[in-house]
Amino acid sequence: MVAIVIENLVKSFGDLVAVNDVSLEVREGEIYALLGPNGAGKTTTIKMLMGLLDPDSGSAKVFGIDSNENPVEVKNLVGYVPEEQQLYDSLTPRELFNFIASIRGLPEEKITKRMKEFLKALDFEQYYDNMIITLSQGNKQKTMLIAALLHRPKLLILDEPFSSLDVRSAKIMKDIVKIHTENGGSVLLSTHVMEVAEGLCDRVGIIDEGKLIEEGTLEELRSKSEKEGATLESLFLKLTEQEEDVAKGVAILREALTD
Amino acid sequence: MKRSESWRYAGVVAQEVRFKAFLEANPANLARVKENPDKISKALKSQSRISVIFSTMILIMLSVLTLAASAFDTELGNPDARLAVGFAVYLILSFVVIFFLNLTTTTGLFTSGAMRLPSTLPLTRVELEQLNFMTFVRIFIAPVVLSMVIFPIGCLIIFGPVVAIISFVACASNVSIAIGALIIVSKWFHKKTHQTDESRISSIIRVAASLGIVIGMISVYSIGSYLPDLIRFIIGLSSSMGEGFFTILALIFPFSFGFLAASIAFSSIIPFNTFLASLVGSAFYSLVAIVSYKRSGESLRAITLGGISTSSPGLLKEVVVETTSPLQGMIRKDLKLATRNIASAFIFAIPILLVVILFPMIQFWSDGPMRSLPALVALEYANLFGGITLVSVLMFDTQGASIHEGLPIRSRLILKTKTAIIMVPYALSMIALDIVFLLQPPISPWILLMPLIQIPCGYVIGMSVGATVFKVRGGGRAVAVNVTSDQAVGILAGIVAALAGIVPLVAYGLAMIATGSYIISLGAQGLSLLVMVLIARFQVPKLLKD
Ligand SMILES: Nc1ncnc2c1ncn2[C@@H]1O[C@H](COP(=O)(O)OP(=O)(O)OP(=O)(O)O)[C@@H](O)[C@H]1O
Ligand SMILES: [Mg+2]
Repeated sequence: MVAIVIENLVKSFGDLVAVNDVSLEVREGEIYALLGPNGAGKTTTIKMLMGLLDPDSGSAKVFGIDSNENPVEVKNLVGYVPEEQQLYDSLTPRELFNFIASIRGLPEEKITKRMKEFLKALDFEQYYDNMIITLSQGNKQKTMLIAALLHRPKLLILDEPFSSLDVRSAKIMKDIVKIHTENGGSVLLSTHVMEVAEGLCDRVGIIDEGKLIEEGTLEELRSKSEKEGATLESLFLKLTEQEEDVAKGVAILREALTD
Repeated sequence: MKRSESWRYAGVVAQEVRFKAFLEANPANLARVKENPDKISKALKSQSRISVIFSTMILIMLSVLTLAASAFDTELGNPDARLAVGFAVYLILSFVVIFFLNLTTTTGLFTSGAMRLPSTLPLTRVELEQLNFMTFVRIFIAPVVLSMVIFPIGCLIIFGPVVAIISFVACASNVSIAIGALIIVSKWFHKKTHQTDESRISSIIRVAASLGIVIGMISVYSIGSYLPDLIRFIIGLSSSMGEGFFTILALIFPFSFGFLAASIAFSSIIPFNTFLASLVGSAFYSLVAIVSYKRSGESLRAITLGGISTSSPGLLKEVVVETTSPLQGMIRKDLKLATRNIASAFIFAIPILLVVILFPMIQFWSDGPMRSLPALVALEYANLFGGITLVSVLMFDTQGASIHEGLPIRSRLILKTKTAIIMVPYALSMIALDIVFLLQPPISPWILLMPLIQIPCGYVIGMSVGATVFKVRGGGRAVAVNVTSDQAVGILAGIVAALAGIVPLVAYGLAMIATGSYIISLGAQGLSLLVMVLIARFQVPKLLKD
């Protein structure tokens, strides 16, 4: 069975076509990375997949369930970490997790055990009773990750999940994602960190200006762009036609900085 | 850095602080600021304009009322006592106005961290303190300037220049001390609301503090009608304690200034001792004000540079995850959020607010025993408040969007939660109304049953208002709204609540006109309410979408 099927998804905001006829699949047990420059349409795609935005046309399905028709069921199956961090600032992680476990109807004992393991692994125990607003950026992100993993979802959807984790936690999270897939789980993540995509993901899809311009394993992308042994970074820049822009930008900056 | 320069920079910082505090107050703004920054600055401008107009009106009202009472209301007591006490009452009230009107903003400032901006500039410590204090003053410039200008002008017109000068010094001291107190209390409140030791006591303190603040605000707004009584009460109390009591009073803030002013204006009547006491007191409190000014700058700097430590010390508690039913979990979460935010705590005070507003009204409407009509009007008021309470409860969710988005929560569950929460203040309002009805004895004891029968209407109002807001603002999906920036929703909620809640009241009224029997009328009220409850239970959720 496939975890995610997105077919001809279109979404525009006024004149701007944010997502333009995107189709992709994420298979079971696979880690799929969505790459693309800022404003490419990654988050918009993910939001439609979560049933948070209505698509103009096309469809998104999670394990065969249509996100637009049955978003609650989709959310039952998915662990989702959105891009922006709007947590309940005046709750503590303890209160937040109690809330989440109650909503999802999780068994108390099992979850307590699991929670202890998470906290230990992420070195988070000492923040468990501090108000979320006082947590650092990275610790907030950990809070969201734990919230998404708590019910052991079969599918993880992560929008920029590693952007402010420290080295240790980023490594642990990457390992968690790997373990998750080894047990048959699937992951869709969007990221700007090329190393993450390169080291972690089975397949990548590159979105630019709302269109899915390339898709495949790293090897496939290399052969398509005729760049033997290239890093994902240089492939990405080539495919999104930004190579020259980068060179120009660096030249201008160099001048500005050496004046 | 020169003072004038500092003042100018403070203007820039104040602008930024206001902007940040505004965003902080409503995370929904954060999303909008990217899309439409103009709209935000416009909303911000209109908000600060409204609060200026509001402060002006309150301060003018207080000045006029106190001055009129002290100068012309001969019933209240001797002219010297009237001036002294009226003067002091004005100072107390303007203190309260400055204090309460700004408490939420100030607490917000500490959270938003916007005050940290100047500390990144290359300034000395002294300059930084001065800049911080001026920023603070500029943020609250409207009430500060107004309270220092309006009352002295009134004094100048009525009592002459010397009293006006004293009143100016008094008002300036008052402002300085009020701001000092404001900073201390905001700091304390910020700390208390952000500390999370789970003990019952601390949540009780939190709720009590928020309630106290809300009641403080309410009493300021409604004080106008009580003001002469307050002056009369203080004068009466002091007179009954004997002549010497005035001398003691003259030592106490802010009466010292009042007695000093009275001693100048009525030097022939006031005893020398009292004059001396007021002089000593005034000098002392002016000194305190100067110290407070100095300390506030320091304390602000400490806050902006060091932050307020809110982490709870002590042992780590055992990690357990406790679960309840989804509905209960939602309610618990909402109540926790409510007790940690002054603005949200407002919903607890709704019944009190209702009594404060309705009590004088009911007295005014009915001479003799209370009949059905004022009771119906009072109930309709409560319905209106019920709708507004619901929107306030919807505000809680402006916080946790990231968590909400990933959770399998059906829109009807959210609607049920919010409804369940507002049913409590609604029921309490009904009981409070019954007490008001008892104070103005009704013509028939049956009237006392009207509020009690009306209690289930809280459910109807919650469901219908919630569903309407979700339909209008979210196309049927549960949404969070913020009434402070989206007043249209507040008005809509009021209208829907009034319309839904009036049906049983109309039924009562029609039955009363037709039959004149209390029992039949109450039956009509109950029956129509039953039908509405059923509709709310089975039909209204169909409007929602997940
Ligand atoms: N609610 C909205 N209203 C108007 N435009 C929007 C809205 N949401 C997104 N957009 C626009 O749609 C485009 C795609 O946005 P999206 O957030 O999907 O990009 P992204 O690929 O996630 O970018 P990033 O890497 O910066 O997160 C952007 O140009 C954005 O400005
Ligand atoms: Mg994005």
